Amino acid sequence: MKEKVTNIILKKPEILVTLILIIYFFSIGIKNPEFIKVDTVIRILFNGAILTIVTMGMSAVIITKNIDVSVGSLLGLAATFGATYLNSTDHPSILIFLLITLGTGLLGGLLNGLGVAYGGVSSIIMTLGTMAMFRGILTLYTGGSWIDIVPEWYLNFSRAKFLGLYDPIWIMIISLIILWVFSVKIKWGRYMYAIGNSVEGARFIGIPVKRVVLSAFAISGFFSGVGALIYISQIGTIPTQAGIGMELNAIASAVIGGISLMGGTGNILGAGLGALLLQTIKYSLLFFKVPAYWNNVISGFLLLLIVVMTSRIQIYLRQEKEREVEEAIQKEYMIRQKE
Amino acid sequence: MLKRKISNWQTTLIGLIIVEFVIFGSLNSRFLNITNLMYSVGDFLYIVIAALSMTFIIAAGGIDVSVGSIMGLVSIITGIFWIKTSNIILAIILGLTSGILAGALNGFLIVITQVNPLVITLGSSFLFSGLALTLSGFAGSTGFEGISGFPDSFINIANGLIFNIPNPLWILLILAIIFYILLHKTKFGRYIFLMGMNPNAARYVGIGIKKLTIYNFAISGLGGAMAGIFLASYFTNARSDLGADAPLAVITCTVLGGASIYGGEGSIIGTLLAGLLIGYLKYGLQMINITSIQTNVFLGLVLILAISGRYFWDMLSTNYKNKKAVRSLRR
Repeated sequence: MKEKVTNIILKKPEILVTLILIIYFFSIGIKNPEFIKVDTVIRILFNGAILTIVTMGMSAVIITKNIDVSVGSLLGLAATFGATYLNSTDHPSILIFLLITLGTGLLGGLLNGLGVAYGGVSSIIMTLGTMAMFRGILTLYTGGSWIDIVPEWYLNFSRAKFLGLYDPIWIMIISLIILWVFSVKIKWGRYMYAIGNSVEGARFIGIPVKRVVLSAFAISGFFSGVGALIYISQIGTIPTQAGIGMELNAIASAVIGGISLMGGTGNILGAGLGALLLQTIKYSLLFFKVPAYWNNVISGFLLLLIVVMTSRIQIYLRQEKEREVEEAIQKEYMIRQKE
Repeated sequence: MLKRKISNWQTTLIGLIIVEFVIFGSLNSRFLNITNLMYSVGDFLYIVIAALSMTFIIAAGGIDVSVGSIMGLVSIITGIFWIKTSNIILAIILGLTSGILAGALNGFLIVITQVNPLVITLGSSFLFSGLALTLSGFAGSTGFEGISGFPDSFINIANGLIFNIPNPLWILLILAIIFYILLHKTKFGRYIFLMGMNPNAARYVGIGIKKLTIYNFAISGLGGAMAGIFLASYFTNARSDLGADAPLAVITCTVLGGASIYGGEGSIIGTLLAGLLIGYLKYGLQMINITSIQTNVFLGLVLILAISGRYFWDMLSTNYKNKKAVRSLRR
């Protein structure tokens, strides 16, 4: 029985993060029973929708053993372009709006992917560069001023409910399903895992490595665009620093959710749960009215604590498993010697 | 072979710096004023200091994105100890120590968790910048207000002159020599390169990788601390957000200087040259009235083009050499 539990946790890291999420949620609840309410959960989902979507998109990149630190800037850029279009005409067409916002994200992601897959630039360097470039283009475009008017009808989009849940939550769920199906059920998605495990191996069995890496970056960029759609509606203003720090939160969430930066492991659901855990921590700080300047200290500390804890648990479980395997081998060996 | 490739790259960097000087010099004659050139080093020295110590980290195959937060934290800690003890030397020593400890904490966490350094330093960058903000709140200055009122001797560190040459240049020279010797002329430096090239090989020949990683990150922390103290001195006050924009520029410098993000390659002289290249690029763009935001676009572009250019250059030169070898074989 014990053997089975360790195996499951090792194979499915999202179980560990779910456990931590539940424990954290209820330990806050013990301190203040007011916290445990359906309303709290909905608020966490509502406020965490952007981060969750961006994290899940970026997971595609991390699975291929790359990284994308430009998502925050790209989200800001897509939101700026989208909101500018909404304000530019009296009767904006939703189709063009979607095309602009999602297209900006997709193009930005493709640019990253081209540099990494075809330009020979390592992903962290490439995306650090485009992070600065996207932010620069954003600031140049707006001239450093904020966009603080968004049409009323679009603001209402994120406040509207469908089947009892807010629209952003639905978008989050749909993104999760799409990405999950893509990464688990579709061949192209499985290629990403193969590349993350071993680029050389993937090439030898005939996987088009460059195109798969390019598509992973495109996915990450596209979902930054989806995040931007919600950002415009939910926040209502787009400052020039929109999305700063998003990439850090997203990477941290993905890692907490069991996606290894060494590539090839983890799944999208875990990444989403990791983002929700981070959002729960933030919300609980807000709930206890912790002064704002403590926020970074506490979330930084908790983040490190969780990373240390999960990695120690995984190291421990792996060692346990190795020892068990070794013991089994030795037993087998003894039996054979007797024979 | 490897050495020749790197030194080739350094020649390219020197060439780029000369091109840059010619272009900016023809656009604005004030650019080539030697006094201006010397004084403008102070504007970007903090980046070069941190990049020099970052070279150690990247050569060993790691990365440290918390260096910017360490700058802010150290400047605040130095400020607080100056207020409490009125002894500026003690305050500086304590500031440097806290930087080293912060770096060592990064190294320690990386060693015990075996998690990618990027994640750990990301987390600790939140922690350090948050601590800086909180501490500056305790010191009586609310929020983003700074701690000022440093003595002249402290402010002179970054703004004084020795033999008619601004201090930043001296600091740059001395630190570059120290770091050069440490990375390229000592056993410690050789170990770092070995660790970056092949950690398993390093482990098999009996190098204490864990200890080395902690030392290495402590050096990076020290670099951040020195940069933070320099910034506090240069701007005459300590703020928690000093150096918040540094990590991108620091990593750009190091990688442009020839360090490989996969570890095993890196050069102090290259980093120094890249630092000068980027620093004077910023300065020159300012001279022709381009804002710092537009400069960022340039910076990102330069980084990407330089690295992909290097990749294609390497590919072409290997192709050329292979063809040459084939030809000589046929003959």
